[in-house]
Amino acid sequence: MTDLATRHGAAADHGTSFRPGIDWEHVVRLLVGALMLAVALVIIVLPLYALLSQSFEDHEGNFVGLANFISYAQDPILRLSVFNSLWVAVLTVAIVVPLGFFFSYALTRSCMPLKGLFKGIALLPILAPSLLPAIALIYIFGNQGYLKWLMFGHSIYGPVGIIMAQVFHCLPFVVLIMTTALATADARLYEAAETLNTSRWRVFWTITFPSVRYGLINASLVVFTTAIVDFGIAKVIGGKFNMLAIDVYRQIIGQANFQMGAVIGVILLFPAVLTFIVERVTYKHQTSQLTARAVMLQPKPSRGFDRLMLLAVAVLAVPILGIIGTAIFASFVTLWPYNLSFSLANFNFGAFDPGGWLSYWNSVEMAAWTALFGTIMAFCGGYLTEKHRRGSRVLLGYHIVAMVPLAVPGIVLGLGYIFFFNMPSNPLNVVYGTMTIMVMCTIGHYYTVPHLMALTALKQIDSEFEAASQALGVSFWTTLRRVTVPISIPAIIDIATFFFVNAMTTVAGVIFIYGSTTKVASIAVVALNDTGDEGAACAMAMMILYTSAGVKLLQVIATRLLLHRQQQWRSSLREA
Amino acid sequence: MLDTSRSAAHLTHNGNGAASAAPFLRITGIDKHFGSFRALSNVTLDVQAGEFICFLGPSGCGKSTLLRIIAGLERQNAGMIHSLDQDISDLPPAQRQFGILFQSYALFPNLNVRENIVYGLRNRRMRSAEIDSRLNELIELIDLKGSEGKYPAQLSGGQQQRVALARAIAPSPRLLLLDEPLSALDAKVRVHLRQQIRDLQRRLGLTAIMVTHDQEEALSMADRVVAMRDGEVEQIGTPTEVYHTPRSLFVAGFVGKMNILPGRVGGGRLSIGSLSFAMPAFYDTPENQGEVIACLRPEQMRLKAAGAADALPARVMQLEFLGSFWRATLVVPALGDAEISVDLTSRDMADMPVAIGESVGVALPEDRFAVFPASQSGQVRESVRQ
Repeated sequence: MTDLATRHGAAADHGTSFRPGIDWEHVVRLLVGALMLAVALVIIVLPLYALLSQSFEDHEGNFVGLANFISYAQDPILRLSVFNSLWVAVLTVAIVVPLGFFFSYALTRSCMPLKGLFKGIALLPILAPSLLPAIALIYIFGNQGYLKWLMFGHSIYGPVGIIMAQVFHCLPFVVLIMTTALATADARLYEAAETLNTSRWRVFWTITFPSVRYGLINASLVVFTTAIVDFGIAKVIGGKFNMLAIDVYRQIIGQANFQMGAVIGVILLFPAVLTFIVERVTYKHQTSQLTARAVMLQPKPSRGFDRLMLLAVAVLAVPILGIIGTAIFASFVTLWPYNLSFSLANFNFGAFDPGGWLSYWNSVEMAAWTALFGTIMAFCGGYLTEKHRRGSRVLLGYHIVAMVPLAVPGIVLGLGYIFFFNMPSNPLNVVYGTMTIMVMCTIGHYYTVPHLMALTALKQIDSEFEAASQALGVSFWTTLRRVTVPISIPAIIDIATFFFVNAMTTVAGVIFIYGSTTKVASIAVVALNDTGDEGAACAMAMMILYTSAGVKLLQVIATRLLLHRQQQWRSSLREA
Repeated sequence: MLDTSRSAAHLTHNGNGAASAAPFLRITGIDKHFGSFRALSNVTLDVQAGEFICFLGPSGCGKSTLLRIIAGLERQNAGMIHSLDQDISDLPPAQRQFGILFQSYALFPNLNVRENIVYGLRNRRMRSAEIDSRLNELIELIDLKGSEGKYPAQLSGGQQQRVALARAIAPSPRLLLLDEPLSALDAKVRVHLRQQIRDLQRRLGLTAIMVTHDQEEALSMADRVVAMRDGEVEQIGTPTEVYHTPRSLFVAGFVGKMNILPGRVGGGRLSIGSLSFAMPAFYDTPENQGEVIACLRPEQMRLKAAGAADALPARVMQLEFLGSFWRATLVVPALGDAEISVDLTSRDMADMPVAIGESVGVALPEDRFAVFPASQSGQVRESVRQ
């Protein structure tokens, strides 16, 4: 023991004199932060700026003020689109939010069996492109649909089909938000109500409903925005029914009227911006009912109630499975509805579309790159924002930019990409028409949710880790590598899966910027549907679903294995 | 003896003149504000090598901020920090070579005890044999032999804090900073660990600064206490100084229990109610004139039989049993019917049992009063609100 003093004697001598050198940590932090901000600006803000400025210019690029907006307002057909989009979105909200709430209520507040299975079914649509329900609905209720008689002479092409497909497409969002909101409740409130002899109905309206009010507002806003800006569904099943997202496509692709397209793009920003503001405002008013001492509510078994809930959930699951089942069936038959014999011909994509299987592999490639770079960016950015934000304007700026995509529909961002990257003066226009721009656009489009996922995961890690390693003389990147990343692996896998699945299913974001060699599967579905090859379109849409589902399954298995292996040290993280 | 410290303790102990001229740590005029909130204003303090200093104050008084500024984790808005005459005001934390013990332990959950302790040693180009022997010494020091392979989750709170302590002192820090290290622990573990920390600090000759809001902790551990309020230093002194001769009503009320009585000072005499006696010398200052507040600790008074010659007549209004002692609330007519608390040891109680409603006599040690200007009366509420 005594020799330690001598061993440290040497260190002690020059330990007392400091060598003030460059603070490399500070430099690295600043450089990486600036780089992140620059990339975020290029993939999110600059394209939007290009779109905005385009909407105030004429064909020659002269500033014309609001002239484009005025001529838009004077066009009765275009005006009708605004109205159509609005009422379709409102009706979708009115149908899907109560359904989703009911579904979530059964999943969280009853003791019905098979909860996992039914939650899985409700979330299934998230793995499919929005085109899938639209195509499947045509098979069910279309001109040759097997349940056409249920339409009583009405046509599925138009608002009816759009709303039905939207309900299918949006249900997972509502279920995700509402199961989270309903899962956290203070059992003591319910016990108090019970001791006061309160009826179940009154308990619902005085305790349950107020506690999930903000969840409901959130879910409604998400559905409303999704329904207004969605492009794929209206494109496939909308028929002659005009909606805003379709108008953008027509103005740009059909009439090459970029200014008018930009104007509609700007209009499409409104609902999402509004959503964003409403959410911020309600978030501030939201006081958590859950204090640290709350006791988690565990539903009590009740035979009658549980059976009723199981029955109701099963009834709701039928159309979801029906739609997906129809798509699977349609993809395997020779020629619907004339020849229903089994065939793999629909998967021979080369026979229908020159792109063939290449579009599918393009999708996988794009999704993989998006997952790789998107995850690295979102996690690094989230790390810097959460752990090193104090006093850094660069990181504050980055955080604000990262929140922007939440308010930007894919089709609007895609449009901005045309304007920004197609400018001859832009040195970045070399990426135009390549896989790179597709990956950039997809990362930008879906950036906010992973950013927030990373922030949430990192918030749960003790904020003193950085300070502790600084005091120990260990650089922050060493602690990031040895501690923060290993702890966050489940969140990182989550983020990667989110990017991958969304990149597989996106249509709107990339429809304007794909090139002949970078056409992806979801675009191929639109094209196949346009040319009347519904069977092949179904097959391609199903390929997307299979791939997303496979990746999702992989995520679940990988996370399980990981958590099992690291059980020893992870057990405490959950308590903290 | 194990010398893990790189402090200059040996210099002072050798009586070396140069070292005694420059304190180990000199903090001058530190200001810190967050937006419009002033967290610290003009904090000045010297720390001698080998000293154990406690920053004591209610939450929000700026003590943690001051500690983080010393560590380099926060940047001060004004002021300087010197260590042995070298300016370290702008050095990043890593270059200051200070060890920090955090309230939350901040142990890395995915690393085991061994990896946690050697975390700061790995990049110091130490040979692995050296690291191993150092680890063994530290493990022995914190009494956790056999637990090297365990993860923090598998240890109790007290054990985790000991591992955190070992990790903090492993790279031989020049100064050990402790940020409320015991507040997350059970009362029993806390008392035990505070002795261990103090013992270790003495044995290794470490200079240490601890932040705490627990006055008992500060009094029992510190060589000197720095009492803080609203971002300013109220008093610096040994625990007995701070306890017996507080410099402000805030310190008097924050550290221990005080009886607070309105009084008047004139001509060097303090009068309370109908009593009048010589002003205690320590508090006989120019600002203590006219209306004042006089304070006396409950354990410094003695109960006597009713009618005793050197005692004021009083009546017992309440009796509270607090385990090791009793606290009696009395009404004393001579003090203008003021209510005062008097502490009785169990032995006092056995010698002379008292009961509610009884008449007794109470002896006031006149030289033990602490006196403050009446203008400070607002500080009473502040110090008791904790």
